[in-house]
Amino acid sequence: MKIRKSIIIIIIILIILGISLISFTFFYARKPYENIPLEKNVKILDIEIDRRNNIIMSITIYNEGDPLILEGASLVKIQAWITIISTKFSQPIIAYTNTSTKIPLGAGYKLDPEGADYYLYIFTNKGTAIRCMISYPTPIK
Amino acid sequence: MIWTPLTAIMIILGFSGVVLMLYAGPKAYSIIKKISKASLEEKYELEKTFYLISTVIWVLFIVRIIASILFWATNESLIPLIPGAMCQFGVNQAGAPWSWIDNGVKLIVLLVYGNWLVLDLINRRVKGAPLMKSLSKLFLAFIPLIVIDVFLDLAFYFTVSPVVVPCCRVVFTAESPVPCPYCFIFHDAPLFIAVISGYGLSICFTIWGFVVKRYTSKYKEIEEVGTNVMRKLAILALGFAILGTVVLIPAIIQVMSPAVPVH
Repeated sequence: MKIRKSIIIIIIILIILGISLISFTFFYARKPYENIPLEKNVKILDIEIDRRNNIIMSITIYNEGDPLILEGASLVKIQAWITIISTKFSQPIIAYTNTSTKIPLGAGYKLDPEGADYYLYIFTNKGTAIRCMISYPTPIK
Repeated sequence: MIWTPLTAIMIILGFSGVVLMLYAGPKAYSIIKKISKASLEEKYELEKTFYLISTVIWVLFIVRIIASILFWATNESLIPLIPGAMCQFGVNQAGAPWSWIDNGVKLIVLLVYGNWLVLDLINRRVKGAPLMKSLSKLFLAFIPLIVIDVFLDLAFYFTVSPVVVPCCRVVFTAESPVPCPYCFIFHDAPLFIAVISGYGLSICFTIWGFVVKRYTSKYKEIEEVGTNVMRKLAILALGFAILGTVVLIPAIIQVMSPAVPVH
């Protein structure tokens, strides 16, 4: 009987631990993007999507502000709060003032063929980000 | 109605549930009625009848438990067939309101039906079937749930149609305090299915253990077998709780690993 009681206590502790870990994960999965300052002088000109393979091939931006050094990108699925991919560019990309810049993405930037909303973040070396919302395959009606 | 192999199986399981329930229900009722006034010989006959209907109830409950697992797989398979549906949220929208209530019912069926199955397992191991009357009463008490469970399945799968639905993106926006559970669990972090199943089974085994304990203190004839079953249930519950916790680690890594900002 004593063994059974201690087993039940262990089970309760494990379940509480599990629920706490899940809550902790949700909190931290969301946190990195919550307080990141966004660039305001950048326009999104085009997002190239390979619809056959559901992959974001590239994003073209137009920088109206000071030159920016772009270091990497992240794709976040809004409905699931999950970062699908986070990559660092092999070489930093410079977005000059009043020019358009094409940022290649490719393979890992996979979109759910059944549909979802995403935030695509392009990170700068200043700790800011360019954020772009993508509704795939169709925008919200 | 959308006819697919899985929806057809769900319909068949629903109708077979009705047939089995209609067969076992009146027999269980007649056992309750007759047992208190039965002679030793009649009791033996009732015992034989009970073994027959308990086998039917085993089939019924196992069919319903299989249906409750298939329910999620069937809904997942319907996503591409419903315009606008991106996850099971959209499928549920297409089959509302039955689908939503069915989601809730499916979460408790294993816990409820499993209770009966565990008690019957003990009853079969003890001479004289001491739980015969209790199990018959318990089965009759579960009939409303079986009816609701079967009715919701039939109502849902007969009414769900390929209508254009607004999916979870309308409800779960960037500002939502919680993610869409269907997108999260079934599409992006499938390891959480194992985590939830592990913890869910652990909770079920623990509760069944408490129920067995209650019956063991009430019926002295089943004390020995009941204690043995309680021990086994506790070990299984612990095993599944450990399994859930162990799987939780790769599940968290799966969610967290790409979430590292690059700067």
